[in-house]
Amino acid sequence: MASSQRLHRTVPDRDRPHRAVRSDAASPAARGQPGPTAAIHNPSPDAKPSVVTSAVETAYRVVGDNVEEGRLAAERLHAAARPPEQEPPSVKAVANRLMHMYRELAITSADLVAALLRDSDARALVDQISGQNRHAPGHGAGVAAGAVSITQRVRSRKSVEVTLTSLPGLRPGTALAVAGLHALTPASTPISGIVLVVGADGRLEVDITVPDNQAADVYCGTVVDVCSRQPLGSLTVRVIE
Amino acid sequence: MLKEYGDAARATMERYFAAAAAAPSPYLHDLVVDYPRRPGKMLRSSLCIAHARAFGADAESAMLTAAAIEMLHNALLVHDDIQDGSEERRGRPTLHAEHGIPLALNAGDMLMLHSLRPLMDNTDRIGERLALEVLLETEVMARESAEGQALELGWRDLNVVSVTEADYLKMVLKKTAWFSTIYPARVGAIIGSNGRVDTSIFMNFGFFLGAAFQIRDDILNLVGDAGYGKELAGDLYEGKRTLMLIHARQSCSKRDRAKFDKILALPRRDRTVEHASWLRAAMDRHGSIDHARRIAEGLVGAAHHEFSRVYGHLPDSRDKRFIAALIPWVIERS
Repeated sequence: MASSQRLHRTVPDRDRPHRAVRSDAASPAARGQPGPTAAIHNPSPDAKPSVVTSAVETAYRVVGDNVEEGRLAAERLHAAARPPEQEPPSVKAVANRLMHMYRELAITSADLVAALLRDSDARALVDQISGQNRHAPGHGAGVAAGAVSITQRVRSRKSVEVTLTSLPGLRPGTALAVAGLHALTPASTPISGIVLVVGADGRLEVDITVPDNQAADVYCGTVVDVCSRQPLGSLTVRVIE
Repeated sequence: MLKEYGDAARATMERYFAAAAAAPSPYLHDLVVDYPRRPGKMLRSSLCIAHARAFGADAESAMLTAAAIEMLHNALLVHDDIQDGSEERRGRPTLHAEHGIPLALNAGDMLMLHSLRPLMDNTDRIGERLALEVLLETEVMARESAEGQALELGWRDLNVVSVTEADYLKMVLKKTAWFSTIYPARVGAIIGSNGRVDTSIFMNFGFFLGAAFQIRDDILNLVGDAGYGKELAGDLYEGKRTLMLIHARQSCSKRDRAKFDKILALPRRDRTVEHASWLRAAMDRHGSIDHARRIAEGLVGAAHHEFSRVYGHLPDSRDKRFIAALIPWVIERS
């Protein structure tokens, strides 16, 4: 092949590597901006840089190099910290983590609401904002209707989500029961290990035991006042593999 | 504001010390609280709190981090004083001069451990995500600081005399600026912005501010008054590679340079008043202190320039004005 027929690479517009890859660590000149000392110390392009200009330029270069060095160090450390066989997190794993986080958030929110409603000032404020009398008729004084403090204990090796619909205010000692939590899938055995206790302070304690072999499904049941046989709300347990 | 924020950080530190004092350890607790209770500038903790506030949080959100910074700073001072063979710190004998190196070293280690507790307690104050970001920043800063300290000690212990101004600036970036200005600004802004800020924007500003601060510190070691707090001219006895020393050595004749190198090669205990006086006279002869002062002023100019880039978009606030006021302060303080 004749030399004139050969393909030639285009000449690069630079002959040195870019050292400061972070624009923020580059000098103003490199960013195309006037530097802090440019006007004072460099009156003309031919003038020899002053001590100050030279020092500031050196300082910009030093900090640029440091940023690049830090980036490389971080890359090395990150690579060292991650085992080579480790797979990137799957969507399912992230979703499960997210679900767990939301569950924690829901419990924390319920605790927060409960704490707020125990505080008389906060309750007054909520009543004022909502414009409602939150004490429902037919309940004893001091019993908050529409919101019950709940303590929840779940015994399970599986990931479980629990949802309890808002119950009316409960008198201390009210006997509650759930006939069992059933799934729509006939093959899924109902969950029967449910204990509901209303404490002396009106706080509802929910204790749920999910067997290790419980199938992943959604299980629902009605919470009933044992004395009046009236349904008060519903309890849903979602068992996740 | 240095006093206001410094006092608040100090009070938080004291709460941790009080908890530690509940089960006092002989030969340890009193030494651990010694440096933190001596009057200091509280620059780092104040910078952290000011950044947190300027970027949108309240001071309390940054208080545990600020306290941790001060504890770590004091722990490093204990170690620095041992490594440098310093005699005075904040107007009193250094910890190792009073109690001996083994006990002082142990107290410094303990203080360093103490500094981790507020950073861990941060999870309750600012949440796990931000607390982890602060910890990661701390790890980066600690690595940079250790590298900077190693550079300076290595130059001195191996008597490296060919240190340039660029080498000096690199050492100052790592040893001083990362911990004194870049890190407090970054963690404060992380807390203030709820982790939304790009922390790389603080590199230039923090470096210029920290470098000017260090050069001023080196100058004060030569020309400071009685309130300086450390032994005057201690850097000359230590053979510390300051900008003045580098400039004077580069500016002098071949014969004087040989004498320079001979003095620098001596162990600290063998450097006499005459040696220190000769080095100081060489600096005066070549205008090295003025040279360093001009460079510090130039870096302050660069810091002003970077300030407008980093903080220009923030609304005017007391904290923004405080950060701006630190720029001239670093070279005007005495």
